[in-house]
Amino acid sequence: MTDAGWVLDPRTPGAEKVALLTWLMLAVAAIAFVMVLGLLALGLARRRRLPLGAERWVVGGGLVFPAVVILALSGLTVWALDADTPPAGADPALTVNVIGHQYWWEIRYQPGGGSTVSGEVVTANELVLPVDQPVQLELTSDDVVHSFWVPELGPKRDLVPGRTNHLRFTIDQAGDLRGQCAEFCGAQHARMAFLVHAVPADEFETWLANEAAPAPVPTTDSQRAGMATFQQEACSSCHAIRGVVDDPAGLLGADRNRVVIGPDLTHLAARDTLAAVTVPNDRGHLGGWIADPQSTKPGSLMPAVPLDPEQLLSLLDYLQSLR
Amino acid sequence: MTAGTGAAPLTTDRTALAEARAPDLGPTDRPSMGPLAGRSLAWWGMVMAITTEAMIFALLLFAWFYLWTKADRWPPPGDPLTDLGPFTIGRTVLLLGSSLPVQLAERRVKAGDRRGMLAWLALGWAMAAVFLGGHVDETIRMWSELRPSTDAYGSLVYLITNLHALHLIIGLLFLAFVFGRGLQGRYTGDGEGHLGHGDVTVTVLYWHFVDAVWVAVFSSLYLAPHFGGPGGG
Amino acid sequence: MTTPAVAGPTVLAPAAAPRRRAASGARGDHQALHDAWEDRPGLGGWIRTVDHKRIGVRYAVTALTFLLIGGLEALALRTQLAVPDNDLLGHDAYNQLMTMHGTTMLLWFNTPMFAAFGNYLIPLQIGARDMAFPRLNALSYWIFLLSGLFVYTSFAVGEAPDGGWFAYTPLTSSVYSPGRNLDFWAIGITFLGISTTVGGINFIVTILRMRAPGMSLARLPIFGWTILTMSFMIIFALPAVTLAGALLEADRALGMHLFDPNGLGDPLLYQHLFWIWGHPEVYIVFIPATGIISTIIPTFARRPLAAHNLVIASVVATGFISFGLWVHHMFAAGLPFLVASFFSAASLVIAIPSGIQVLAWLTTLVEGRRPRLDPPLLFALGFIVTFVLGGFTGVMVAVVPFDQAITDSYFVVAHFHYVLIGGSVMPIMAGLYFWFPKVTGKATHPWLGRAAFAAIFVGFHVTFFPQHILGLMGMPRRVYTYGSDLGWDWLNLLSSIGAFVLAAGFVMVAVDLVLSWWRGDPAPDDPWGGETLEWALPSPPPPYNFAAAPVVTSPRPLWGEPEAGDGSAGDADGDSGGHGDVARATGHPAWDPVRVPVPTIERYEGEVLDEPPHGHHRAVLTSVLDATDVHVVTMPGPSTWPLALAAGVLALSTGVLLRSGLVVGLASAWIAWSFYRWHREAT
Repeated sequence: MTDAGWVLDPRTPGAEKVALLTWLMLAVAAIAFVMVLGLLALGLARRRRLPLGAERWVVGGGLVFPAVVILALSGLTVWALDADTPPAGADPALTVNVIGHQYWWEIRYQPGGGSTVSGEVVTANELVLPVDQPVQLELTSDDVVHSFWVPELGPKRDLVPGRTNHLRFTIDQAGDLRGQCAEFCGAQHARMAFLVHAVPADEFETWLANEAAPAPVPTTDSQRAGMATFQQEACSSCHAIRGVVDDPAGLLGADRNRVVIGPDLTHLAARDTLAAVTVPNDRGHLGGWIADPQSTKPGSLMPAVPLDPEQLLSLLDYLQSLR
Repeated sequence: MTAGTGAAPLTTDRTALAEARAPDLGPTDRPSMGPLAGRSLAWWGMVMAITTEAMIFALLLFAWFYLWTKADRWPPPGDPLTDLGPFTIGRTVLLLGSSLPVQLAERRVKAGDRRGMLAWLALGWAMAAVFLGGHVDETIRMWSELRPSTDAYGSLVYLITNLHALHLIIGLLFLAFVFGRGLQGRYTGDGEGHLGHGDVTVTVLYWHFVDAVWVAVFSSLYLAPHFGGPGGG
Repeated sequence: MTTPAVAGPTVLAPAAAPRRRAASGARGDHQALHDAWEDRPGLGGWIRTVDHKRIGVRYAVTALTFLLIGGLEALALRTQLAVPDNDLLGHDAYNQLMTMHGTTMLLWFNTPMFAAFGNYLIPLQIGARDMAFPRLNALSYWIFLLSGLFVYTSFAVGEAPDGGWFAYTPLTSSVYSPGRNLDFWAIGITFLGISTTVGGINFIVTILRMRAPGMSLARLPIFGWTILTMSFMIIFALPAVTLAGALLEADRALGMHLFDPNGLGDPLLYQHLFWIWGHPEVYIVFIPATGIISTIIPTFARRPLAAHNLVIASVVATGFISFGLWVHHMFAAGLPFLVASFFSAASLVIAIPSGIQVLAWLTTLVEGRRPRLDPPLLFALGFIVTFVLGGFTGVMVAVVPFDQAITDSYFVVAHFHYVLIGGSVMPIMAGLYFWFPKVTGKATHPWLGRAAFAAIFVGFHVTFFPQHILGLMGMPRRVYTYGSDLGWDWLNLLSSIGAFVLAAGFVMVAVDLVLSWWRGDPAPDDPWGGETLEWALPSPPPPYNFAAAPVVTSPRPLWGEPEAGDGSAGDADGDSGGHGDVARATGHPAWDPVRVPVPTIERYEGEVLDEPPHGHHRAVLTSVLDATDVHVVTMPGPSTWPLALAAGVLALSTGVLLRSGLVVGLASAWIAWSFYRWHREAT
């Protein structure tokens, strides 16, 4: 888990412009506010006549001053928005589809030509991104409207069902960031967060190659029993583990309508957190989350699956082996 | 009047008004104090009501064209075009034509002609009733191919045409109300209970509005999809 | 003749003996008028009344009750958020209370509160005896009340709306919100829309046709201008939200697909419709608030409003521009660059008319007499400070890149509470204290109102200032809880503490007003030395308001013009009347206004205006622009049918809620019948 964000701690060139703009606007506002307070103090003191007459003050302070500020801000708006607009023809090194679901984030990497990994890589709730490389996010939703927001990365963007929105940025500093759904999306809007791990490019490639691989083969009896539990019980009707359960509930229809209910668990143990950054990903929290999802994240759409203790322990062994 | 300061109110009658206007308007005639000049309160109220109603229809048609531009084809594949046959055109002509007799009814009542007013009202009412019958018939025929729940196209076709029909029914009720009072002679006599003809004027205004809305609905829902428009046909 | 016969005192009117409506003195003067206009005693008279003053008070009491309810909801929310990982409320209760807090405050408190002020004050300020459509006025109120009861029934059945106050689809579709929660919301706002629309139409026609002889539009008091602008905005903007609610309900109840991306609909269509109303709505509750401030500040400063005509132009301009801003709520929804830039520019431009007004108030204060710090002025000053800060953040959120960074965060929560509480609720409090003596004939407590102001002002800023920072720290709005590891703890705790201080302030206002009304000291008829016609009437005013038609020759009918013969008041450029000229000519301020009596017309075409024929409600109509062409008409009197019709609309709404065609049919028939009976009993 990581600290909350700070809009004025930008990590992309675009966000840097926004932060600069913010400081500038705050400075102008502070000056104007002091002037207003000054006039107000004069108003509460004894009566006096304003030089040039009140009307000129009204026109000067109420019309000319805001008009100048507005003109300047309009120019700055175009300047700052510019960073947000992808340059024509420039292909991003990496395209990532982010798909909103009620209370979690589905993440699908589409590696570009420069990557050693080919084909789609699927994960959830934790977005690992390379620094100093242009990244394009393609955002949509599977159910209701959500919004993608990482304060340090600049603009937020809505995930609207039936449309695809784009967000393009280049992170210039390695580090972990926290993002959260910013559009009210139902019961657990409050616990629909995600993490962004910005890492050097070579580290990213290593990570991506690992994610692209099928799930590790279980090595112990307990892990094998856990895998069997996963396959036999309700887990496998919502969650995919590539190489084990590729098509939960047989929902990938012939018309290629992609139906995803729960997060892909192929490399679950490689993630830091569970349930969209609700709890840390350790054995205790994982067990609690599976045994009683509603106490970890009330309102979550994950049902409690009745498992006897041995099943649960072996399942934990198996899931924790999915690195 | 000026309680609190103890000053006695200045008692004047018409001259006060003339004086009141003087500084603002310059030397002018004494203000008119004859029978109501300009429109009645109800007329103004109806104009405002029509404005807000027109916004509703405008926004619905905005929704129509907005979804049209988002769609690959409009109407969507499998959905029927609205019927632009002679029957629809005929009933459109009837509805728009009904504005004329209704207008004439207002003219007759102003002339104090009760029979003339009733006759024109009845004609206008009948023409609109035929239009409404045509709407019901069209809806029944369309039902097997298109429903409000088929897709957004179906939803809007039914919403817009039926919202217009609802306004038309309200207009028919207004006309019937005016007809009933006209029958009692309350617009044309001059005895106790005489009402002037404000009701008729306001009803006629509303009637023209319902007709005008149909022009917009007809152009957008019937004509435009037949002749392409945004998003292709 | 209009020559001021007697110059009244320039400062506070002497404490005249209180006048009571039932007192024989007032009654004896105009017995026939009293008989014609006074409601019958008892429940029947109470239900049937069409008296704009009684309806206005009713509006105020009901709207303030909704303020109380919305405030309690807010306290529950702030208590839940006071500490991290709190499970006091849980997500279900929180989301319902959060939704109903916003919906109640904006729709059932703030907008109707200005209907209350408008209802009570507009006829008095324009010298009329009632609204243009007295029965529609009663209907507006009953629908407002019943729609509020309808929506709040949802709590009783445990299904309060929970989709946020703007109820975005598809979250609010029947797929993701299968309960009746959102049905209550969608039907409720459509239901309420009738009330607001009818009220708006009524204000427009009243202001256009019922002004006192001689009160040309240029002489319409500034509060009247703001209500007129608000009403035009209502009739143009409200259909959008009515349609949004109705179409949402059509999707839910009839299986339509207007907003369903899987059925060729588009969720963004809903957002467009909602904000086409939603943005003007912010100004619908702000513009009349500025009208209150523009009335109070000159009265306390004893100087006519500076740049009077420029302020009126600003009010009207704000109304127009506000229709060009709605997309600024959708900057994060993924819009083309040009669209975003256009709406950004429009959102910035609206700062200009606001700036003009702020400067006009400030310069009026500077050039006016040192004002007495009574509650109306304190709240007005609190308004200026708070609204200016909200205006600055408003300019910031109009800048697209900044908006995209902080929209839907607590920064925005802070911003709109600055604008709504600072920009609208504080002026409402100012207005309540300003006109309370007129409405009740009683004075408020000498210091309780000042203490209340202090609590509200301090509590407000302690509550909402930290929320700016929380937003910059990444706290999204509408979260029912947050983790303790995020660094949001102490700012949230501070904000919650502030909320209780703020609430205490409102409780003090309530206690002050209730106790003062019950057993306060009598107030003089004109305690502040006001400039508009209502201050020429006894407190409370008699049921017929004006026994004779006042004749108006100035935008400030009770303030004399120091320069004889200068008739350019309100018609010249910015300067208000001849006062500025006097000041400049003599080199020292000479604005202390002189109270003048109002000339009246007492007879018209043989009818003595205080002896109405047949005991009818007789009122004066004038022409739209220059208020000449006097005409006396009979207005509709008291009636049961407005309530009957409103009850029919309640039944209709319930029928839709229960998906019962039978109830819908019966209710429609009842509505038609009530309407018919209403018109049969014309007077």
